[in-house]
Amino acid sequence: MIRLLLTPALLLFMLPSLVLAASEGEVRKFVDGVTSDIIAAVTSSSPVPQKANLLQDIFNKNSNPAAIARFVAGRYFRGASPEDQTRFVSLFERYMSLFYADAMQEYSGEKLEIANIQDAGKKGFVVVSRVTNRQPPLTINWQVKPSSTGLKVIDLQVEGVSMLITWRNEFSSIINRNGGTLAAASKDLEQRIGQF
Amino acid sequence: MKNPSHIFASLALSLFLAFPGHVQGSDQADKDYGHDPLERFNRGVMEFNFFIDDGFLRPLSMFYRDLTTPKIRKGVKNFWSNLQEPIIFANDVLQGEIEDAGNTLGRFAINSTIGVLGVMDQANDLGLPPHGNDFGKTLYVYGIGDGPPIALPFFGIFSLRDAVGFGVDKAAESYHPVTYIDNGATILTASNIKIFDDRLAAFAIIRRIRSAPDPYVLARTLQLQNQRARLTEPGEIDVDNLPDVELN
Repeated sequence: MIRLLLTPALLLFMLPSLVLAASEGEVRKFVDGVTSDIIAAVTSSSPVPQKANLLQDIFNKNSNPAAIARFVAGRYFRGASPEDQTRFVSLFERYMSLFYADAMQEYSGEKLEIANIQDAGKKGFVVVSRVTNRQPPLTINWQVKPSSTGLKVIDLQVEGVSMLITWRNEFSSIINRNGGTLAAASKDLEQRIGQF
Repeated sequence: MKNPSHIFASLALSLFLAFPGHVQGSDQADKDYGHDPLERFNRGVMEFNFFIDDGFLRPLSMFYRDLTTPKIRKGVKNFWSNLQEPIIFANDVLQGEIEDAGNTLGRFAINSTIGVLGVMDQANDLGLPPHGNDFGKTLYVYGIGDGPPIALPFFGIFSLRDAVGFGVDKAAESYHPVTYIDNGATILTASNIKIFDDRLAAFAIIRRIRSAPDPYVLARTLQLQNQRARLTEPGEIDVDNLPDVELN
């Protein structure tokens, strides 16, 4: 009887980890797919704002900009009003798309090769990729994490520099110097978006 | 900004000199970068560095670019890199990396001879690729922690450990074999020219840093991360320092 009761309980307990599991093959296929989508977007003949729209769709599908925005704002996010939180997330999504669209606007055919994939436990997977047809070769690590809606790209680390950590430190400084409110970070984001 | 790899490379480049840092996740990020007891001093030094950059380094680097071709710059860079090999070799040995030490010794022998005093990287073509090493990494291997960030005039931001390492490597240059020939003139000249080369390579990232709301914080974050990255072997992942993002 106890065993009968325990089995469903155990299954329920394990369910999230079963749903959120992914194989290295799936991760590889996912990163390959995202890379192809990004290259298709950045090699389109559209101007930067439209490329940013295409990238924003790709990010919304393959990443989780809201979770990234929460991480970037850190403890200041938790202390902000729902309105300020919504505004920050929305502005951050747009900024992230414009940032990458601008950064990649002169893409000239570099090829990305996946070197290996490492399981990072609860932090997901790290896909080590290299841009090989340049000197010196460049290492880009993709941090990918399973979620209830599939695999999501969490961070890009380029030659050891994490975009998330960099943004988090920048926004912490901005918020700290402007009264400790998330609204200050939103104001900064508006300015940044206006500069693209 | 030319292409993704340039952008990514630029993102990874450090300020003023590409001294090869520091990735922290979650609240660790605040703890780590927030711990900057020398911040006031560091900000002052960085203001000085920006002043030097505006007045001298950037214009002279652009002059150097206009005066030379990419091929000449590559040769000068190779020449400087070859001069660094004895220092890399010493750190390889101190870290017990015998295979790397052999590789470095081979590179120095080949490039100093058939590589025309190091102007051409023939060793790379012969299967001995370059690798970096420095005394900051040696201290790390011996278990010395980062310590607080410290900004050095002309050279940017380092962890205290890497600043000490940098100083030791610079002091070691006084005992470089070449200094016995010309009293250090070659090393000094090559180092100065290398600064222009590094400045050119970091053009996009320095522009990004200077236009940031807080250039000091961005410079510190990028440079410390970049320095931390050099402490791990290629392909090795420092899982503890990955950002921990909650998705659901």
